[in-house]
Amino acid sequence: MKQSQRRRLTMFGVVSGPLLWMTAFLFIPYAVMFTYSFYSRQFPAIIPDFQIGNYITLVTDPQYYQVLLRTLKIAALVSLAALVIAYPLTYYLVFRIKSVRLRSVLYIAVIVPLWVSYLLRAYTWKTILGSEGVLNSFLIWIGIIDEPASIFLYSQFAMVIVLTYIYIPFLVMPVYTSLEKIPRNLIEASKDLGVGHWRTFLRITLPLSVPGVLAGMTFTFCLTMGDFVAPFLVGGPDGLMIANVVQVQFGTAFNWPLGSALSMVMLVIVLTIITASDRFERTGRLDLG
Amino acid sequence: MGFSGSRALSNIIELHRLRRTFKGNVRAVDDVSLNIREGEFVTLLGPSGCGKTTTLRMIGGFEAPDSGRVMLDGQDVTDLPPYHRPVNLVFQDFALFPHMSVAQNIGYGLRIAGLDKSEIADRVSASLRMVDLSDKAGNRPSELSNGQKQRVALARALIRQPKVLLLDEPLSALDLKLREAMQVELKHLHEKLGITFVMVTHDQTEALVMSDRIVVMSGGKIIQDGTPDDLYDRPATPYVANFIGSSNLLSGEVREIQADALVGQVGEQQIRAAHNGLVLEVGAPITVCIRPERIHLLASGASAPEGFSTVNGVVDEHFFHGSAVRMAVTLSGGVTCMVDLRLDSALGQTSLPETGSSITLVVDPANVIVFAAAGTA
Repeated sequence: MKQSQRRRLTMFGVVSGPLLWMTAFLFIPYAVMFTYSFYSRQFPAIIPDFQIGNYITLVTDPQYYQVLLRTLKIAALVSLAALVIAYPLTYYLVFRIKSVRLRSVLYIAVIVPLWVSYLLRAYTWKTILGSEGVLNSFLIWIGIIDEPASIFLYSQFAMVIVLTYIYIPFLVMPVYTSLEKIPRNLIEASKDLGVGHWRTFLRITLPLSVPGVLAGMTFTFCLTMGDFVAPFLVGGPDGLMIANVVQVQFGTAFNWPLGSALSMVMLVIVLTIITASDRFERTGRLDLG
Repeated sequence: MGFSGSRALSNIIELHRLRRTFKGNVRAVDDVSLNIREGEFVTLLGPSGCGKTTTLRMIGGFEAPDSGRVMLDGQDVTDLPPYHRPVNLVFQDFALFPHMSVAQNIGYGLRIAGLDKSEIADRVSASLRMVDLSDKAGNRPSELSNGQKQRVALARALIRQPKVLLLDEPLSALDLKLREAMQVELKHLHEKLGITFVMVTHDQTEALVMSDRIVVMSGGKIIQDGTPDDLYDRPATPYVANFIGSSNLLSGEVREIQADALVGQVGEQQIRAAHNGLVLEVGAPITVCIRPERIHLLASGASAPEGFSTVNGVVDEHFFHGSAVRMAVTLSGGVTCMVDLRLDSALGQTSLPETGSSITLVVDPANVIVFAAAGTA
């Protein structure tokens, strides 16, 4: 056997496993779902069909497109809130903590909650925001309110808080990497040229950390888009998100075609965001070597 | 501190008893005092870890001394951040901003200083012309060669018209040919601009070629401070003698003290050295230092000039150095010594002594330096 043939065979051996896995559990299901999204439902049966009624329902029935818009809004709020918290934290970790040991300990401390069950972490917020919760008790104790406020829990506000809390590590990780990659002498060079801390940050550090910020915000945005636990635990009557609607379509509503169409729309949105962010990052990618 | 009174007007930089200790109790800079006059080209020379870069960074404001003061142009800047000091630094690996064009890099310090756009544009294009990069104004640093990056870094540091230009191993990233060309170019630039240059390097050739004055550092201290020929001809310690150029450092002891000279005993050989003010007793251990090119071959039959020392030895090896041939010679008594023969003078002689042949060498006492051996003095 020729060298090149053998190499090709080895290569095939290496990729065939993942390829099979992805075909069986990703591509085929998506294809099935794509097909289903054109079917129609005549209760109690789902009829193979080719019509775009499901998609039309999605854009005309406010029940659906409003949920979609709300989901986008919450995803945007969560990514922004997580950025506002994660960026200064990470900046502090990378630039202000001089001890390498302490820095890695703190970094791990940010990541470690990911090992704790999502449900558990979301649940703890019920005890913080609930009517008998820590927040209400505190506000009553310092006398700002007389009786427990119910506005904290079961609202979009609560969802944004919980999701922000949960997805912060997904922003910290890429931002940390991109900040750490910035050569320190670029910052020194800026100061050498007469530029103070704050403007050095705006002109040098921030632009060079954009790839990490983009990657992190893409993570949080897409993960929030697909979340259905937070609305379930802390979302109020107006807190339904798109994933919950999908879940209902495949469950109690028994409207698989509509659920499939919804999933396809979500898929397209998420893929668009990932592609755009990747494209943007690629054009701005810099040679830091 | 009591250190603001008298000051020679011509000193642009005064370092007063600087100390800096790093984690793990490493004394990076240990009691360094140094005055640099306006317009001088001073090089801090030493091996890595000798404290030269830390000293430079303290002048630039990137490192704060544990104690001591830094004066720039009569002003105490010890506690000022880099952006308030009238100096600029050319960084070792250039530190060009990767997300800006060449012109933006050069104009960076001006834009922030709040100059108006047309003036910035004028000065940037003048600066680009100075470093001969006008056609690269719009390029990103990643599209430049190392030599071009070096020029951008220089232009960027000079555009704010600093009183002192600091250079941190500015040529170390360049290959040999380019490095030699840049040495000359930097020296010319220094002459043209007339501002003070302070450079850090571990390359003694670079230091010798470019500087008005060289400050040799080791272990955080200044070992010697002088003009290049001072350091070369009158090294203060064997360390300097060996670091700048190469030297034969032969251990021996004082055999005899004469009116105008000192005779050292090295192995079986006696070598006369002109008095250099060192007070030594007969029998004291010494290190005798002779440059390889200051040892000459005595043609057979000729006699040595009055007062010169002659030593006998056997040629062990030849090393071809281009303009000279270096010979390893074992002196009778077993000490090995390097001798450089310039090829033209070698040709003037009958021929290059062959390996294994016995030769007689002659040394002028004026070219012999005697150091008290370590631990005595």
